Amino acid sequence: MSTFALAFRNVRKSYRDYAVYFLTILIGVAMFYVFNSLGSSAAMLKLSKNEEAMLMGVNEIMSYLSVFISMILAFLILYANAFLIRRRKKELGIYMLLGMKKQEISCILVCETAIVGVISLVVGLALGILLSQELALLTAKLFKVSIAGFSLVFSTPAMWKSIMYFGITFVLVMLFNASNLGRQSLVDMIYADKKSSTFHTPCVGISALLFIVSIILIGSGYAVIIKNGIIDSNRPLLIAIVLGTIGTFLFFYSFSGLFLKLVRNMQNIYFKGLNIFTLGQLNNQINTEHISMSFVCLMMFLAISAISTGSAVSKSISHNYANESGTIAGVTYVSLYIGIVFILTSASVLAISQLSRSSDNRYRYALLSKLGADYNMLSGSLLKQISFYFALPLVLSIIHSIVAIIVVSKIVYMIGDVNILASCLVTVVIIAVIYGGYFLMTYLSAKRVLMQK
Amino acid sequence: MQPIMQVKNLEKIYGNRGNITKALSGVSFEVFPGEYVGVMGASGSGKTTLLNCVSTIDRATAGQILIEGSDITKLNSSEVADFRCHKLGFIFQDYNLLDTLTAYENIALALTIAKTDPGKVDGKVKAIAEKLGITEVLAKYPVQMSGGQKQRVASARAIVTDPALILADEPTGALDSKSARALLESFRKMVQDLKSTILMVTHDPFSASYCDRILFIRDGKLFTELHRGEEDRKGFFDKIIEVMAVLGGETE
Repeated sequence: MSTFALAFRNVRKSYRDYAVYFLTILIGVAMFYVFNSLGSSAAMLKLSKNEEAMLMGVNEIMSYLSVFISMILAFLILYANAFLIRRRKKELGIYMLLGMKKQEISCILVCETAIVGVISLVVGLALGILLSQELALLTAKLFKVSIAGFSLVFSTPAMWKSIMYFGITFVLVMLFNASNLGRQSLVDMIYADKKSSTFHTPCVGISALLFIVSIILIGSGYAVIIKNGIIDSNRPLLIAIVLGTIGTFLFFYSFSGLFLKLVRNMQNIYFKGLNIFTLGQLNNQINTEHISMSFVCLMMFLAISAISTGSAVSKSISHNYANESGTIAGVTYVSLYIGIVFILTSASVLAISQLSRSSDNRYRYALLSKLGADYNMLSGSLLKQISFYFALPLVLSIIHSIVAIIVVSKIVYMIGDVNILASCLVTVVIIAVIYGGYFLMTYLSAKRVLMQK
Repeated sequence: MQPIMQVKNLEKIYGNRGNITKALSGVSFEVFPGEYVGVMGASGSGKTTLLNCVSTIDRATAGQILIEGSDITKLNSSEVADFRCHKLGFIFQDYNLLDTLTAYENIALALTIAKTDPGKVDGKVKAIAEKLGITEVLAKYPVQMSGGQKQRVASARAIVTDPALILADEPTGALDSKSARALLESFRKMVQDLKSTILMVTHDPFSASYCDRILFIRDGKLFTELHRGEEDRKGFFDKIIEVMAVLGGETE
């Protein structure tokens, strides 16, 4: 079988494993295209010379921002890829055992990446072209102009840019895979699934202490920013960011140890059904993923505050300076772009780290079923685990965001009377669709593991 | 005395038309309460199939398996789960402890799945740990324990629900000889002191020599049966070796 055929078969056979990976790249590409296509939507709108110049200005901001966004998406794709490869260690080891050279296996992986990359780029671009029509309509609304006549907006520069940026990312993925494979020994690959996971559990006393410290840090960060605001100087903002960030990392580091201890003392909950197992799983997951959960929490915080306050700020500007359409569009687009990409990144990091456990979990669920746990108990435990795992960083990020929104709304109210709740509603909808969608997808595909006995 | 388990004409056929493998054909035997029964046979003899059928992991093609009078081959899926947590205890070759839980939690989980009153869980776990001498490892995670300790925790998990029957599949397979001996001693203790009933599949004559009775299986049929009677362990061991020689010698 040729290398390409084998690679193609691998992708087709494991499309379920690739689903999250694929979807994430696809949405990433689409967003990247949409926000880079602004310039081309000018053709569709009846803009004055002045307005067109402003739109081009916004377009330029977007293209600078895209460098940053593409780095985030590249990191995400590398992260997802690393999980996929870790899961396939044994399979790749068997290729080697059958006499394949490492270069040949590298070739297969390169082909696989290329196949997934090309498909997701093409589909992502198609989706991006569709969505960019919606963006053109929004632009028309923000500039308060009518549409010159419907024509399909297609931005060639945005397309080339997407292909180039994501192409580079895929080349990085290929290089990563090749160097990763080069470092693996055959024995580690073959026994990859036999390795029992060792994990570090901080002792309860330290957990409790660190947890209290984290709450104090976060609380004083809130106090500093609420008391001083952000108008007079940047200093309080900086202090609050440092305190909040350290506090958030400590929070996730210490949370599970303390939580486990607390529930262990509530016998009526702890000794009920599969709760012991559910807690053990959560404790393990939060302990091993506390750093990525902290990042997710901070990214969600940035996303929520960007979308909620961004549109409020722009609305209040429009209230006072009716002609600053360019600024409004700029602020709105920057906040939407950052917000959507951050929510996407957060949700897929959580989804990927959950799904990468599926193969470990398969034996755990098979064992529980031998011990007499029925299907409802198992799927109930799974739902609790995944809900908790997705909810924990979201809840903390919402609390962070409420503080940020209070601080920003003080300024917004000073500029003009704007209802900030409306923009919060936009945030809720975007979170429900993306974050909720990834949660649901994670639960359903994890549940499928239960059915395969 | 009423038998705790009756296997009647058990048959298991794998595959479909044109490609049929008879894994078990017409196996019948009984196990009485408090008995320690070994099942021996070469690989492919059908001993694992037998264990899978008895444990409801696999479905028999024909025949009956009665446990405390009720036929477990006729159970639906929710009754199967109920049967497993109340009537059966499992001990596997590779321990199968959950690596995310402590020894204490692994044992307690068997009780909570069987919907034991939460107030009684703690006492039961501690009592069984005391009997099997694992009190000091209760707070440890499986990675922190030796193989012998893990298998004793697994035994505690199997016995803590007070099941009608404990099924052990090559329980000493992954242990060094010293730990294996200690485990087999504690099985004897479970039979004598706690009145457990154990059905143990093994290919190791030394492990088998701890049993009261041994069923030899060859090509899916019950080949012969060996009773220990008043014999000491050494003598019983020699008898087992003799039967194995007749059976065809190579048991893996």
